[in-house]
Amino acid sequence: MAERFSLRGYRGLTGAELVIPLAAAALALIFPSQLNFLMLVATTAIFVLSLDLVVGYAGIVTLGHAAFFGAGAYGAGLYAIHVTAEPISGLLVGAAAGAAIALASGLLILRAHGLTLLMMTVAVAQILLEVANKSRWLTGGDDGLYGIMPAPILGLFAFDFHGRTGFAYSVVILTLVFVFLRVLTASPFGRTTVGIREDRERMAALGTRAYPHLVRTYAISGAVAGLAGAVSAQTVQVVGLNTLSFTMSAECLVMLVLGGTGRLWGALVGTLMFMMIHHSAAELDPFRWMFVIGFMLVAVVLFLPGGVVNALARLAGRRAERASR
Amino acid sequence: MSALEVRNLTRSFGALRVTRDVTLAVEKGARTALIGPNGAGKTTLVNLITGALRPDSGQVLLDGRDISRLDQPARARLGLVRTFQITRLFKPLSVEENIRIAVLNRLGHQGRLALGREEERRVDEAVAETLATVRMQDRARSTIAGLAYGEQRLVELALALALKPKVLLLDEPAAGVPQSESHVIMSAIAQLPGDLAVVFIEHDMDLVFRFARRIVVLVGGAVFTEGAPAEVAADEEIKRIYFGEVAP
Amino acid sequence: MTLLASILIDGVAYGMVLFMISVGLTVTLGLMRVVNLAHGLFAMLGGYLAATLMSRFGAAWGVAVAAAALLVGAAGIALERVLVRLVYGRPELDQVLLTIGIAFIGIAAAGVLFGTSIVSVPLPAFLSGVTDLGFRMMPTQRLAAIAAGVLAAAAIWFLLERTLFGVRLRATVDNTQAAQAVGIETGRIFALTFALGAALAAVGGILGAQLLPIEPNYVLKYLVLFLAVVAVGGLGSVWGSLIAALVMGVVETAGKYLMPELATIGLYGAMLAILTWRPNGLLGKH
Repeated sequence: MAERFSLRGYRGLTGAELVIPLAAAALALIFPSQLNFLMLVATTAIFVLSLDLVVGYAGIVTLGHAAFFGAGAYGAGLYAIHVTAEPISGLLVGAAAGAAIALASGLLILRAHGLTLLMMTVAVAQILLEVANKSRWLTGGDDGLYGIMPAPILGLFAFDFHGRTGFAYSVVILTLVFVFLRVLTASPFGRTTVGIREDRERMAALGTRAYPHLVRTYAISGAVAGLAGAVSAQTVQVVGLNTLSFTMSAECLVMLVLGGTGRLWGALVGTLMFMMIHHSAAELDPFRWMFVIGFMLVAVVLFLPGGVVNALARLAGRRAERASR
Repeated sequence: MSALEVRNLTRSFGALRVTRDVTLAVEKGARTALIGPNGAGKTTLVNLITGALRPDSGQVLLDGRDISRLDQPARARLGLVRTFQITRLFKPLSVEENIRIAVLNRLGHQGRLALGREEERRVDEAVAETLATVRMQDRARSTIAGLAYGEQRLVELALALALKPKVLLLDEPAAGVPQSESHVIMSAIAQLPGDLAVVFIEHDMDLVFRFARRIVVLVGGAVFTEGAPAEVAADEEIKRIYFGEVAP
Repeated sequence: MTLLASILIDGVAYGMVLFMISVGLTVTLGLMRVVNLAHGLFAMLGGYLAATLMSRFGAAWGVAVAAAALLVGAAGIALERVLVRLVYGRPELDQVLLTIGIAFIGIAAAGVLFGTSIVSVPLPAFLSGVTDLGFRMMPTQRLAAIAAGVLAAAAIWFLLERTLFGVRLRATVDNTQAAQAVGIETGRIFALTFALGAALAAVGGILGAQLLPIEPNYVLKYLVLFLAVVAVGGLGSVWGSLIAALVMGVVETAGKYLMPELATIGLYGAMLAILTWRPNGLLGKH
């Protein structure tokens, strides 16, 4: 099925992006007591979107993306505690931290591929985790970084205990990030990324060097991941070592692949699905939700290959074809 | 000054000498066929020329300029373009999208986050122009998977043409294309720009004798002979090599 | 001097455990090109089965180990035939997803069946306690692990180099299609290899139960280690995984003894360095 990207439409935006704030608002109205949870979903979705850029669009499988999320979280957290509690600049600090780590590690590892590259992403994240763990004086180590009190956004909207401001904040940022990534992936930059994913040799024969382009894509993804980390630090108001963990990287990869890679929507659908199941099933007992997720994953691979969104798109495409015969 | 010149190109894989001291010159507007039995090293030679493979020794010159130290993307940007024997297209994308990527590369826009209105227009125009050249305007929106193999070969050619090459290396342009569809490829090749230097690897002798003005015969990685088609066709020894009766 | 000896012995013992567990994974990855992130299940299952056989059924240690290995091997065949076979040739991500799913199910099942706390695998009398090596006393268990690893390596060598199965396996690894063309039943080879790797992992899991404690999260907790051994050793290389496992075992142990603050950083730093220098692993194909 041809990717829907219009030559004449405004840089790949279709208006469907508005679904995000609308759906979020609907969910907030239906489940008013779950705002903190929904906020977590939105924040995680931003991170999973950044992962889609790298995994879905660039074709780089990584199990260490939490490195950038954690970098952004600690960066924004420390900024809020030691410099200023102004949140918007805190977001920029988080994004910069994520981008810096991504750029440095990308330069080192992006010449590799396959399992080697995968292990290198894991190694980078584990090293960062250990550094954070051992730097107790800075990060709080095992206990976590406490005392993050963001100031009112734009001086107007204060973070309240009910999570209303935090929720709206995270949804607005999620929507903006989604729009940005839509434009990015439809742009020449994004098309080149897809070309490199599909066939590096072909791209070389056309005049594109894969490595520098992939490093740039990785850095941008790191910035978005760092941004997600910053939002997390500001809304949860504590940063723990789990933000850098292998579990975080692996669970978010699962969310992405479950929803479907390479379409951005898959990141959102997958995150919502996974976290809702985790949230409801985990309350029963810690292992039940793993059963559910485990079976779901197996089912998706066997019956909905490519993830939920891609499989549905394929079905829709086939139905359209059949209808037009 | 030749459009493309190759001097003493040599390459081995371990003990196997795949390319032996090959020296060739291709002029502007040439139509040169590169033929030879299977395993003669034709595709390897193309890989060495385009920079996909590094030679053990030798030089490659484009318009008199030594490009031996440049990598493949740099050579492509200077106008040295190749097609692949087995189609290598961007499968999930449409025909239009595929060509667009090539055009973006030619114009140097491949890393851009956004294009201005005028730049966008130039890209659209170039894409339309390339589509028209291979007569695939009505298939612009189809995915690669939806195309017949002959059409895919055309898109493969279109990608190369979109780069407005100075030297074009075609690796078996008609390979795998059923008889019923081969005329499209033929006419596309016939209509290649007159000043473009074209080297094509082919096994299909009809194609060779129809388009080639010179033939280079490669055997065992070395240039066995070269000359006008009529001479080469008359050469008894070549016939025997081709039909595998005698090793050179 | 004795510190060095301690590091070496502990490190090599640890490395041997990692080798026994990971060798199956490297062959599966190299041979069938299947990313099996649930491989740790075999090691964990081995530990649980041995512990249960000994405590619930009073089996002797040797019997329990052998039975566990056989059962896990059989489970390996079953898993391969039923599920893993379905994703041969599918994109990496599909395999990652499927095997993570299997891992999750395995973790959940373990939690429900055996509880969340660590299950210890009791050692037989002749393995507990210490052995006098002259210059120092070493827990016998460590020496047993090393001996088992050496035995496993020797057995693998014999299998690969001196048996018909080994010849066929090497042919299949080298060029699966050619092997099929020559009449080798590659499907059977896949299944058997998978089973052998699983059985060996079970033994590794049992012998390594003190170093890598048996609990439900085992599968994903130590996955990184096993994948690291495979990556550093080179996909599909049995001897590569032996060297990589020993190197990693010694480096991590040395780190724990000498600079406990930086042990983990040292291990992953070493991994990064080796992979940068040798992108295909120490003995991987080029």
